Amino acid sequence: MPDISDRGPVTRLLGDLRQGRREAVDEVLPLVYAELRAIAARYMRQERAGHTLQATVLVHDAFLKLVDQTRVNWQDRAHFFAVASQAMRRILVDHARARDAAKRGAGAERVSATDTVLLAGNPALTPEDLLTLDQALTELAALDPSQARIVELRYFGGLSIDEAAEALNISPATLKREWALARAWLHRRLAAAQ
Amino acid sequence: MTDNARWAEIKALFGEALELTPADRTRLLDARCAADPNLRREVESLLASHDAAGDFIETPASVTLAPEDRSRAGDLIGPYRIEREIGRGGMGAVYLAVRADDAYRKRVAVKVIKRGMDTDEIVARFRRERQTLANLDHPNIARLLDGGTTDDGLPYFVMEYVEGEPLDRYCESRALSIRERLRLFRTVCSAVQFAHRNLVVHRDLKPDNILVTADGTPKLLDFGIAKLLTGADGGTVAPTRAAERMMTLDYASPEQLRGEAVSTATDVFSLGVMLYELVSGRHPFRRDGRPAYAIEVAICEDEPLRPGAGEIDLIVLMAIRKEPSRRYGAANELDDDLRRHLEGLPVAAHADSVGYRASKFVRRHKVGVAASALIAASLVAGIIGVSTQARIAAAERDRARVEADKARRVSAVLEQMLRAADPAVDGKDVTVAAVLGEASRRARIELAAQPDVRAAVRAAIGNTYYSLGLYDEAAAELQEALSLSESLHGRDAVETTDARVKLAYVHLEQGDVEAAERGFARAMTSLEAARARDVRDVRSRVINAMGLMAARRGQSDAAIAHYREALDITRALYGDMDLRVAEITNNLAVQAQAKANLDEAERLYRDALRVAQTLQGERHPGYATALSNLAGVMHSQGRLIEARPLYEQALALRTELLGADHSDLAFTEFNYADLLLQQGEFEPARAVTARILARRGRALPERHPIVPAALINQGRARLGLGDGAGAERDIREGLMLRRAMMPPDHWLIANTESILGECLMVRGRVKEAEPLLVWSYQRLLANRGPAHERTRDARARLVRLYETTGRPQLAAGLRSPATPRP
Repeated sequence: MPDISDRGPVTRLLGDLRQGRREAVDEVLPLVYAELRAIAARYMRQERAGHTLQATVLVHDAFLKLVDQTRVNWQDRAHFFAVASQAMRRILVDHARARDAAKRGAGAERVSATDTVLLAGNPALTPEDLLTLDQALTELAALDPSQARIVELRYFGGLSIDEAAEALNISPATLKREWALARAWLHRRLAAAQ
Repeated sequence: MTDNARWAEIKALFGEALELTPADRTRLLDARCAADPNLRREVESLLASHDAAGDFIETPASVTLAPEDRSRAGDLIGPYRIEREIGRGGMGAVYLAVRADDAYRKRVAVKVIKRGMDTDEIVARFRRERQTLANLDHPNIARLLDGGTTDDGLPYFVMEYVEGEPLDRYCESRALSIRERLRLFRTVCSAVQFAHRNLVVHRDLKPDNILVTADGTPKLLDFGIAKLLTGADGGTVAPTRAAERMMTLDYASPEQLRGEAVSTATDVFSLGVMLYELVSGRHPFRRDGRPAYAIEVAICEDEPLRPGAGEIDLIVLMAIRKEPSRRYGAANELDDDLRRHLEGLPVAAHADSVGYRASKFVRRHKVGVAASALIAASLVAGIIGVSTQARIAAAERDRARVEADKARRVSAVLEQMLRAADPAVDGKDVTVAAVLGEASRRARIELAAQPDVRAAVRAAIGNTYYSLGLYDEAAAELQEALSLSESLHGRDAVETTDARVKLAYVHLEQGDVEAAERGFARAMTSLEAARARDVRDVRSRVINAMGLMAARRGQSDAAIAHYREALDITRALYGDMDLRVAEITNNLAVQAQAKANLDEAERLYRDALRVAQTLQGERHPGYATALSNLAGVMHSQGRLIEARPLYEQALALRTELLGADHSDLAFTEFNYADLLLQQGEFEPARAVTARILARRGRALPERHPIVPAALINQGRARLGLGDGAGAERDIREGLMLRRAMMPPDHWLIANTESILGECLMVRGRVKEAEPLLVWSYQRLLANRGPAHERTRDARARLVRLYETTGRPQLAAGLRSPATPRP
């Protein structure tokens, strides 16, 4: 059950991150991943099946749920959203991969919709598209890690231009330019993959 | 320069250019990239991509919620403790469980039927049937042990737990040979037969219900369950139908889909479908990617393709006939035929009788008297071909005598067939297909001792099938002719190469470009070795075919080079006034047209038309083809009023000569529909495209290029009629097929994307439409040039988009020829 004590571990790990203990990411990521899924499942019980939820909503809910608002500063916020965006990306990609494998490996009848807790994905992107995007994003990260982070925050975390700029401590104008180039690069990469 | 520094440079320039107007961008790049064309290209490409990206990934990712079922691990169901879930399907979940009060901890499978089914009725049926089901004691049937309702009121069944792999995956993972698969499958048949003797029909046989254990023993699951869930006799009431839907459509029989009575023959059908997949790796009704209703219609109406596994084909096709009474009556009859096949004995399965096929053929083709004339012409061509070969080989006297003798014998057989084909002889309306089927059968039996004659006769029959558009039959005959010729004359002999080339042409028509390409390449290798005059004819046909394949890949220049070479050889051999020359001239014209050289195309088509008219007269398929093509080029020139009657004449001729189902007809119909669309006659256009698409999977192979083309035009017609949703569906399906069939940079894909963009624009989804329209126009411009008809269409659509979204400057920029780039 949700309880104030839930906020202890993540808040503490964010503090560790701020102190420079990078490995804390590996500990915080699974917690956020699980929480995002749990939040989705909770919405599921309230909403009809097939209801679409933006990643933004999930990520902000997780932030409120996991982080003690009185004990964090902007850096912790930034770290949290970076981690949550990454977790969101993993959830979507894991799901797309499972769907893709099910589609290729076996007849469509073998995996029915009820097999998964969470039917994830952007209606605009097919599972294959999402996997290609994920791959392309990994390639972009090799070329320009900060642009890849921007895409994670904006697309998977659902952060606005201003929120993302704040999280990365850069000006919104710079973020906008970087975002434009990252989108152009990814779009070209996906068009070539088609 | 390091990658990092390079990227920083790109980034800086991109950022600056982004803020500028197109003209200023050009000035900036001129100034900054003078010494570095690569940098310019990269930045320009990224800017173009930026402009085309629309709202790509601007909307954050989202998740769609699906129901989650509570885990039952640890729960007690009756006396069984659940360990974990092991499967889930339309009916509910299956759990691995152990008997809680059993010292031996015997493992069982517990199937819990999901909510929404009629619980009381299911439990009552279980009580009635339990004795029957308990009697199903067979080593290959998983036993039903128990049943009841869970604490939360759901029905459950307890079955023997089987650890194994589904039948199909087992065969795949162990790479079993066809014989091994058949032997395994026979065991399955005998288990089904045992159940049938105990008056239990399975009704839901599918690979997932047949698990093969590690030691290779197949075990059938769920015997009798379907009946418990769906009621006594299959029934016709709606709830039953809904329940049936939870079963796998892929293995359901026509009678189940129609809600008719279920019998042992129903299980035979499902077995047949599985057998089909096991021997061919394909589903008989091509379920891949098709929507459920389409598969349903196909199961009930389409004739399956042959699995292509030799004699087993007959057995499989008999098991999956539409009418239960025409299948094997029971599983043991199927089993028996498989045994006979494995032992090399004649099988009881037979192709449908000539009478049955003939009557179906007449219904399908409605071939008129003209067809008799056509088949006569094809067969005469076959005879002439054989005599020509004899003449060519005359260099060696002995061989010449043998060849001449063979030609005589071949002619005799073919002439006999011809007499049978003539309705005047026996007064009955014998169909072409029936005659050819009979001839093929006789060739096998009567010419058993004369393999060389048999090869020639079957090649001639294959050619005739080919000209009738019956490609599967043609492939079977030509494959046989090829095998015979290989063993008689060797792999590289001219006769063998000739058969190989003919077969490759059939593969090309079937849409199996890879097989065709292999055949032609092999033929070319054989021909490289020989230099004599007698191979030049075959050689020119192979080169022509390479042109055809290049054309299919959209490589017009390569195709034209091949055609020119083939044309030179053929002209030198036969002169100008020759049908082969006309055919290649025609192909050349098609490419001239594709490259928008319309005047040249018209001249070439008229040349081909003149030859066809002179040599064959006007009542001939060749003339109809030439007419249709000429109409096509006039159409491209915008001479719609002149073109329309030519199309109509060509269509009438083709229908009369080839029957309404011939695939050649589809091309003319397609273009005609396109013209109707341009004239704004949407309903007639839709009717014509629907006629083309009705032949999918029958006369028209699924991978035939006309299929996506017709889908797209049907979509355009629907759009004109105001059915936006239907239009989008058709166009997207067409696009999907083209993406699957063509290389990604093919200009037709860009053209389709432009059409989809138009459809979305009309549907008010401008944001989705814009990137498609921009991107496809750029690619058409690069690939086809600014003057091409399709480029112009794409430009016009983009102009419309800019105008409707209030950007007249962009629209004007596109209209002026000085700035072809948006």
